[in-house]
Amino acid sequence: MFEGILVGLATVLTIQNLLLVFAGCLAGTLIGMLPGLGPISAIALMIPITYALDPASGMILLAGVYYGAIFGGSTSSILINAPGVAGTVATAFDGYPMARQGKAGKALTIAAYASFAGGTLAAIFLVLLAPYLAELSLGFRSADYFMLMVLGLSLVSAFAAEGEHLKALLMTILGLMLATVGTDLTAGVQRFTFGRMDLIDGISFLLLAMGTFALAEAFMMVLKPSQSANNSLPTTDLGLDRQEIREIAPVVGRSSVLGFLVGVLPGAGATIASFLAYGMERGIASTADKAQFGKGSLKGLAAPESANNAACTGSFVPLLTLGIPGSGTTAILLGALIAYGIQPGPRLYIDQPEIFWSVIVSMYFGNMILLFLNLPLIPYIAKLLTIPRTFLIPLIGFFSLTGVYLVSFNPFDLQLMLYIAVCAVILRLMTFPMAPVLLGFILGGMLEDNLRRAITLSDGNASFLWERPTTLCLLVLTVIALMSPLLRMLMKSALKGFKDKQNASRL
Amino acid sequence: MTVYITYSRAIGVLFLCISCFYLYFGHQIQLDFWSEGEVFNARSMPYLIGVSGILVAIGLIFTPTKASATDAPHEWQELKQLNWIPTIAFALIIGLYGLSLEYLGFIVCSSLFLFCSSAILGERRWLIMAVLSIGVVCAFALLINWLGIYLAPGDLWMGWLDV
Repeated sequence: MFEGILVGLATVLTIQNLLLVFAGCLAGTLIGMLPGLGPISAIALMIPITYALDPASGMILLAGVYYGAIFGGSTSSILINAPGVAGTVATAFDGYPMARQGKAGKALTIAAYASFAGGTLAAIFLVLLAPYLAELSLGFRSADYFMLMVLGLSLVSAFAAEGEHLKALLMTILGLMLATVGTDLTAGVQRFTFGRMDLIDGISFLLLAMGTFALAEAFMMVLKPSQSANNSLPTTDLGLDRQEIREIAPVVGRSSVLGFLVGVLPGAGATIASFLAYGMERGIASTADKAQFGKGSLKGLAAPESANNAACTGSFVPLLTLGIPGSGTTAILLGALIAYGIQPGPRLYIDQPEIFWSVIVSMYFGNMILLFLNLPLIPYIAKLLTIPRTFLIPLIGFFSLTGVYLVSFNPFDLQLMLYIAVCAVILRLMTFPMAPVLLGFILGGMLEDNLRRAITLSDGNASFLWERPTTLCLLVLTVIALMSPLLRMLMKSALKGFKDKQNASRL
Repeated sequence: MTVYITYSRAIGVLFLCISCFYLYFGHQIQLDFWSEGEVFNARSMPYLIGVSGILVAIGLIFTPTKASATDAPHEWQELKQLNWIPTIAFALIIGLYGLSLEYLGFIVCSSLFLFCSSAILGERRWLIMAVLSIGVVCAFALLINWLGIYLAPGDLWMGWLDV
């Protein structure tokens, strides 16, 4: 292994490859900031350039684009509440409220540090554990995946205010309903398309995310002008004091480990990792800290940011060691490797160690360059919020609409996005949380696929839920997560009753 | 006991109707004859979601709320104080943008969208509005073009070019 790391260092530490990491991170950040152009588009756009390079350099460039695009996606989530990629949805929950409080610079700094720490820790885990984790991830069956998705859904209580868990649950179900629109790929039948050709491919994630978050936010800014982003506040407060660093350091550590482990599982990826990390941190936070979640909590921002970057690195484990792409982005990277005539799999790090190790080592350098590249830019990026609201709101609308249009080139999507945004505004005015809709929508498809497989394999028997220890553990965690609000309520009322009794006996 | 129509209950009732419709249309999904006997088919997930939706909506309707006699009307009163007219105008502009994008083309339609939206929001510096709208859209179109993504010029101009 040590030899491998040296081979990787020797490959990466050339001027050409360091410049490629830099160029990849810069291009990825700029492309990722544009709603609609996530890491998949960024990598796809860069592939033709990599054909002029040798395989190791090409993969180094593409890996840099990948992290850069994820970080760029966080920037648009924080500044204008427009998560261009699913992995940065959870970043908006606390990043955007911070931007509204005039702390956009600080939010971007935390995102940069958390991303760096998450990516770096995950790169270290990758070096040490890649071969073992590859075997472990293969042991995950569809029943386990199904329960992992249910656990992800049960975390909706993390997005609900005290006593409003039913609202969050209802919004999750709405997300699940929207996920079933389109063609059922297994059976090949249309569901809920009402004969419209435009709905055959279903509703795209980007459309829903832009409709419920970015465009709905633009409407809310028009509806409530007094509560618009406070763009008169200075955004020069970029640094973190010791207290804040002490507050977020353990969060980053925990979320990185969780993100990396989730990223290793094929199909799980950065989105589930970021939601799970957010839910976990909220679950273990003290009552005072918990109240801050969703209102600009530092922990709420650091957790998903470190988890999504760690998951991105983790997703390289099945790609490089097994040749299995764990996400859409790694599928494109797999295509690029195959185009070079390289077959990823267990023999990659034996037959072509310079590629295997240079990609892993370049991840570390990529994260470092990303940090040094973005920190000086943060004050300028944050200044975007000082644009007067009469220009800022139309620009948010323009970038959201264009982002959706550039994916499908279908004007119907713009109409659908408008309807979704109007519904989201009504629901937000009635204090219904929007995050569970996206969570349900993202997990809905994967949930159905895995449930179908698990239930078919067990011939309709529900015993698949408790037959394997992993599934059983996840089931128990899900029940605890679902019951915790009820248990908390019962404990509160029991405690109140006890106190009332004591007071009555004193009298 | 008086039942107050709060936001939650109103949405609960609406969602109950949506879930019932969802379940009904879920039952209408066309299945192949061999799929009907399968343990899990294209209708199974919609059934599960629809039933869950009905149960949660009923839960939301009948859950005791903290609303008092003064809270419920107050919730609805708050809605009246919002800035509705510019919001509706902004929504209409977005609707028009979607309808005319293919006809007018990206650059013209987007520039008009930005200009009109700023005007609706109260901006009156016409020159800045025009320069900013056209400048932002042209810069974005150049970037998109540089990335190799094709943007059609619009049916209106295509017609002229044909002539």
